[in-house]
Amino acid sequence: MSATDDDTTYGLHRPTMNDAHEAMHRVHGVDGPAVWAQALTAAGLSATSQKDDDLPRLLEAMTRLDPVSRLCAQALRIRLSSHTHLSAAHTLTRR
Amino acid sequence: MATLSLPELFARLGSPQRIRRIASYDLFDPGLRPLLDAIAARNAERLHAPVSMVSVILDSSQFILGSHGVTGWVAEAQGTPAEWSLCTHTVLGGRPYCVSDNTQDPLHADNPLLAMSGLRSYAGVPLRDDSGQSLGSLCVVDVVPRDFTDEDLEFLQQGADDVMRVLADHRTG
Repeated sequence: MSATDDDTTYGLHRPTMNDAHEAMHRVHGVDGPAVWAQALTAAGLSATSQKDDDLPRLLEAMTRLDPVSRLCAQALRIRLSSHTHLSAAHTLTRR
Repeated sequence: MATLSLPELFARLGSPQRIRRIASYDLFDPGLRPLLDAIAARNAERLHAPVSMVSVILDSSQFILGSHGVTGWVAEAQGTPAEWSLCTHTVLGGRPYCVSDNTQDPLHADNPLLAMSGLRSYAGVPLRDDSGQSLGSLCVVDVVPRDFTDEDLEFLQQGADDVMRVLADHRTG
C-alpha cells in the first residue's frame, strides 16, 4: 500500500462528518442519536446540511460535550492529523 | 483481528461500556503525561528498546498517553489509526502480544506504519483495570528483529501495573 488515491493515503481516508456521525453513535450506543443532536447544536450546525469543512468545529463541540464524546473527538483528531501528515509527506515525495 | 473489517474493528473497540470506562479517567490532565513518560523511559531502558509507549485504544485510534523515543508525525498526532497499531492486537487479545519480525509476519508485513517507520519487533501487555476491561497497552518496539523473553514480558507487566496505579489516581468516576 503506497499510493494516494483521491483523499486516501496508505489506505487511510480523511475523516468526514459521516465518520463522526458513525463514531458518536458507536460509542454512545442507544444514546447516540440524542448526543449527536446535542453535538450539532453545540457546534451551531444543522442536522440536515453538514459539510466536511465543518468537522473541526464539530470536534471542538464534542470535546466540550462530555468525557465519552471528548474521547471520540480525540480518536478522530488522531486520524485527521495522521492523514494530514502522511498526505503532506506523499506530496513532497512526488515532487 | 486480521479478518475484521474496519467497521467490525471499530465496533469491538468502541463498545459503549469500554469507552465509558476509559472516559472515567482524566487522560487529559497535563500532570499525567510526565508520569507515564517516565514509566515508558524505564521500560525502554530496561528492555534495551528505542521506543516504548503507554496507550489507550479508542474506537478508531491508538491514543498515546506517555512515551519514550516516539518522534515525527506519530508524536505530533499523539497516536495512530487503530488498524495500524500493534497495540490493538494486544488489547483485543487481552494478553501479552509479541511480533519478532513484522516483515516476516503475514499479519503485519503490509502495515504502512511499520513500513514507514522501519520498526521490526514489538512486545506489549494489556492495561486492565478492576473492571476487567482491556483499556490499552504498555509496549516496547525495536528497529531490529528480536525474540522477547519471558523476563522481558514480566518486566513489561510490572510496568503495566505501575501505569494502572498512576491511572487509578486519575479516576474521575
